[in-house]
Amino acid sequence: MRILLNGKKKIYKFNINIQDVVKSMKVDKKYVAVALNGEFISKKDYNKHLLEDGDIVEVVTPHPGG
Amino acid sequence: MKIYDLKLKNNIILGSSKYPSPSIFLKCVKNIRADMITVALRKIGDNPRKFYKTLEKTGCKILPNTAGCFNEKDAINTALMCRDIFETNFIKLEVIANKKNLAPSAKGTIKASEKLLKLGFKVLPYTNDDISFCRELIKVGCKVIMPWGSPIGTGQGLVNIKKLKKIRDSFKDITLILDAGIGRVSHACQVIELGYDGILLNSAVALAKKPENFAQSVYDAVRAAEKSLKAGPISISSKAIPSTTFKGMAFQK
Repeated sequence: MRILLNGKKKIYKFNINIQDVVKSMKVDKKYVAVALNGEFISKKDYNKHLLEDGDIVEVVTPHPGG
Repeated sequence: MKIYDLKLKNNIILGSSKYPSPSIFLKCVKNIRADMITVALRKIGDNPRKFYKTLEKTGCKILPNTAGCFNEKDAINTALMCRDIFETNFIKLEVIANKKNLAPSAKGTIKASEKLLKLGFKVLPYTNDDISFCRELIKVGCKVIMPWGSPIGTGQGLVNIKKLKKIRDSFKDITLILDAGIGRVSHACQVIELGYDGILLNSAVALAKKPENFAQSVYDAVRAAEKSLKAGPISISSKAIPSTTFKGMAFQK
């Protein structure tokens, strides 16, 4: 299965959900937010979203801004 | 300064970007006495925890933004992601129409504001100085409006004072915060003298040669402007009025 994670291609040989993706990034869930195919996914729903081939996942974090 | 049901201790909101270092940013927050700071979201970097910890050190309330969004959908999803991280309903809404001058999209901002307000957000929309744009935002329920003085990061100050004044005079019960364009402390004074409730600035402080000193100057200037207004400045006259009487002058019959 191929997904696009923050603009980079990732290949997984097994099924994964958003929780797994966030864990793989080795960052505290507290500091991130996720969008799947352009739609926001709440933290409490990370386990509910099994990823499919071609999915676009964006993981964002606080950043300096004006 | 009142922002929906929240009363801020200080009416200067500070952006968190472009500082030479986290420690200088923290000094600026301190010197400007910020009670609220703006923050963005971006794809994950090297050490997200570090910036988050810096934010925590400020002790300030967080005003997340939707900077960089060019349409209503992206702005709404960004706002939802901001709420997921910061656990706040406050959102500085930016829906940009023009990448060159970063002018806001009236249509996108109004639509996104309406939807976000329904989702329980307290929306602080970034606008230009078009009064009808501001009026539409108030109609959909915005209690705070943030017109620009001039394009973001230009430091040009208040390019169209008459338009900004008309917005103030027309919407007396709305909290008005001038967002974008401030480059000098005199601009901050002008905003206060126009009767605006507060200012939001970033580049002017962060990119100054001595940001912490500039931050202190902005704080002092805003306090000075407020103090002068309380002292009752003279009304503006179209005619010259001599300070020294002509009466009793030599060489006159």
